[in-house]
Amino acid sequence: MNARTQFRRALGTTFAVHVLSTAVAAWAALELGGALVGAASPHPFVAEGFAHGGPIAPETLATFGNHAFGPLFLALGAMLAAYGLASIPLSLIWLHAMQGETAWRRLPRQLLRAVGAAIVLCVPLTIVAGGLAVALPLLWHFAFEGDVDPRVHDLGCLAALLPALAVAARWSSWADHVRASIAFDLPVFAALKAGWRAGATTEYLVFLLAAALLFGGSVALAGLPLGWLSAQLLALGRTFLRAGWWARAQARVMRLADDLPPAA
Amino acid sequence: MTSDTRGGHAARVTRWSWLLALATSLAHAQAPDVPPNETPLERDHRYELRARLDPATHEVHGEGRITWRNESRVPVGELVFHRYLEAFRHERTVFMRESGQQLRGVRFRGGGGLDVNALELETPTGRVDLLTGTDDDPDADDRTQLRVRLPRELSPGERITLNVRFVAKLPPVFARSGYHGDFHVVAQWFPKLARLENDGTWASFPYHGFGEFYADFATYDLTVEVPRGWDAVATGVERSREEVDGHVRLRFQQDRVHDAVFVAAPWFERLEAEHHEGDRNVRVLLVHPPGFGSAARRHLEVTLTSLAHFGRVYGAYPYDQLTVVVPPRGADGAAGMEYPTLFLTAGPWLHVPGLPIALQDEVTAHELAHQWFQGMVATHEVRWPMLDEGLTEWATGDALEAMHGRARSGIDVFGLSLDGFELRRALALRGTPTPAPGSPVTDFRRSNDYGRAIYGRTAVVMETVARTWGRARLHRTLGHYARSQRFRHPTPDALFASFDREYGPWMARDVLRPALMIGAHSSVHVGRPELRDGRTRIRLEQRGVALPRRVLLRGPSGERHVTWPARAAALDLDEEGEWTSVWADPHAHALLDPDRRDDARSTQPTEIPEGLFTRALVWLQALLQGVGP
Repeated sequence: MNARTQFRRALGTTFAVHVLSTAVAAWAALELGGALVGAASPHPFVAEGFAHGGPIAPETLATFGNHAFGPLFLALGAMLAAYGLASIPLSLIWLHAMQGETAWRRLPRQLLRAVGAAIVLCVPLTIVAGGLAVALPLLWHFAFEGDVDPRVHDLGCLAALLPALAVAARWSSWADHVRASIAFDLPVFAALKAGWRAGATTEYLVFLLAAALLFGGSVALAGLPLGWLSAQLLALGRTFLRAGWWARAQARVMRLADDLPPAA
Repeated sequence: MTSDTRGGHAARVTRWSWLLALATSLAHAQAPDVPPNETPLERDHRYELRARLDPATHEVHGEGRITWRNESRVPVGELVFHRYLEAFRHERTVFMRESGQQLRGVRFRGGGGLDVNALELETPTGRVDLLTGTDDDPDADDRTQLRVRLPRELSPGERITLNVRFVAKLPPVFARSGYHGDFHVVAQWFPKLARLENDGTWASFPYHGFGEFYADFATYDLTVEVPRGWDAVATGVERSREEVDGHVRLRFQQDRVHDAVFVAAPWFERLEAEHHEGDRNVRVLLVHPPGFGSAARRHLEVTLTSLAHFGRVYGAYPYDQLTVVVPPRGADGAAGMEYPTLFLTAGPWLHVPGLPIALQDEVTAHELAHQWFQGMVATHEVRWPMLDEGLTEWATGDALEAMHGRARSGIDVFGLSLDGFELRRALALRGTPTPAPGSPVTDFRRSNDYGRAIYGRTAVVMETVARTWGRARLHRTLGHYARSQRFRHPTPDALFASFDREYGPWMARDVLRPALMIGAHSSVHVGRPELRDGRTRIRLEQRGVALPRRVLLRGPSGERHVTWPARAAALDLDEEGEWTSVWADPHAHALLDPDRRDDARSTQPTEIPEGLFTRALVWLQALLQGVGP
């Protein structure tokens, strides 16, 4: 079984995941628009100003600030948190679909393992990546603060962030492979071991970059005629890109994990 | 308060008056410009200054020969000098007390000063020491002014020559002067005669926390010595450069300027360009620290574009050279400051497009505009700061509009664009009340209030005039003011006279004096449309400065505009048909309204703006995909 087979097998689920996220986003966007319109209705020009770069205009802030912004941000935050929590079971269902079945009976056990693994993985990420992200740029800053050429300072500080980013990318790839292993019913520590062996940091970054490009394209197209349609096509592309990464992660775990049969 | 209840008839009448106003405006726009005045009133003032910079002690050892003529109509028995650097002597000076020992976010970090060691008057019988007997207590709280008695009164028109020796100690860069590492901005560094007004009073003042300068026009001949391997730029044109005793000696000359500064460092990188205007060529020299190449090219581009724009509007730049200094990081205390024929700009080493109002474009255009408003039109910056900073701020916004377009003149990033003058309006009109823009600097207690009133509100008043009566007319008005007052020292009355000449005697009386000297707003209140018997009745009221406005009516059958003349404090519309929403000044011409929320009313809910839903959806999808499976 290779990644392509798994990707094809989960096409329906991938589409369903996309529809779900789009539906949640559309609901939130409608709520957002409704709240803004509700706040702006007594002052019709405010909404027109909003469409022409008005969000910073004092009237826009005054209009929306009183009633709309607080509850809106709270609702959006709650929605994101809920979707974030739902992402673990959703990803397991998605991975099961790639395996050709959704093992509902095993899902609760796997869900507990996935949550446990995520908590375990948070610790090294926070300590190592967080420590590197703060310490290295600071060291560089103090060493080159007085240099006449500011590029030495600024570009060095940016470059000093790279080790932390590399750690974060490695961690993300590791976390995904761990979840792919857990979907094969591996215990937590075996999954952690299999996920670490799978590696694939570079490939992860390539997928991330492709997703970022698709996002940039959808933002740019959103303002054009037919922007809604083209932006939606690019969003769909991002979901399928993620499906492709999951399929490759699962195939890689199958090849490398000691407790699993070798990939066909 | 008058009321206009003629409804549709009023609209027809006022439409004709708009056409008449437009025709008048076109006729004015085609009238020839006033040629710039090219001669200062004070023709016999001359400073010959020699300076040696010691970069180890950050001291400038200087001497000078000053020729000065009593240009007033009364005899004078004393001379008054400014010693601005004395403001940094200790924490008790007027500057330190008023500024709270900080300026534009840069804190005072150590002392500076200006010791005048000798001041002698040349007479036929020899030199007379003017310092002896002078009340110049070294422990005084503020020594930024030096007053010396003359041995005898000087008649109107009489000329004297003075010899002066001094040591200027530069502070770590703060409030326009000082050093940062090897970078030295040597400004306000010599004893400079205060301006003697026509009535014989000295326009002298301590160095104020928010105030700048005021001086006579003079010819400056400046010789600067810096260590070998160093470079320096200064006010005027470099006439010679030679190596003497391990030093580089440079000589700069410039006439018709009211100040002279020099900037020195061992690492300058240079960019040069020529600006052509008519038969004049101006050499533009830009110096910058290593690594600032990208930003420097943008600074130069903006300088050249703005030179052309300001030259067209306010009269051609009259000097042979313009020098732009890009300061290094950390020298923020000296950044963004104008001097005659030289200015220091500001900004990061990398040109970031899309933020004209915050970065290179705005600072460079602003400091360049000062070449006209204070450089050539040399107003009293302490008494009427709006005449330099306020007019300059408007000229800056106007230049940025010409460069980027109105909608993008403030911000243009990630699909969000913002009108620069709307940002200035937000700065100027929201928050606690401030003194009026026409106030002196001594009326301000907080730098934020000073910025909002002097920079922000003056610019907003000018832009309101530009958008209400046409930009070309305002260009003509300020062009007339800048040309006729070039190399003079005008008061607000001269500015108002230029406005009255262009618009009529009501402009200063009804608009500018209330808005600038009193700080009046111009706000509108629109009543809810009432639909009855197939007609729509709406009441609109305006308060404060009376401005003509357009009113947009919308209904199921479309939309139409009605003109609301300035003379009508209230407008009672009684229109046939169903008009469900009304919007006064829909194109935001009147920026003096601090809250536009009551400028529009509707009986219908507002529709979601086109594109808002799509943009929100795109961003929310990305967020969900980021946290999702």
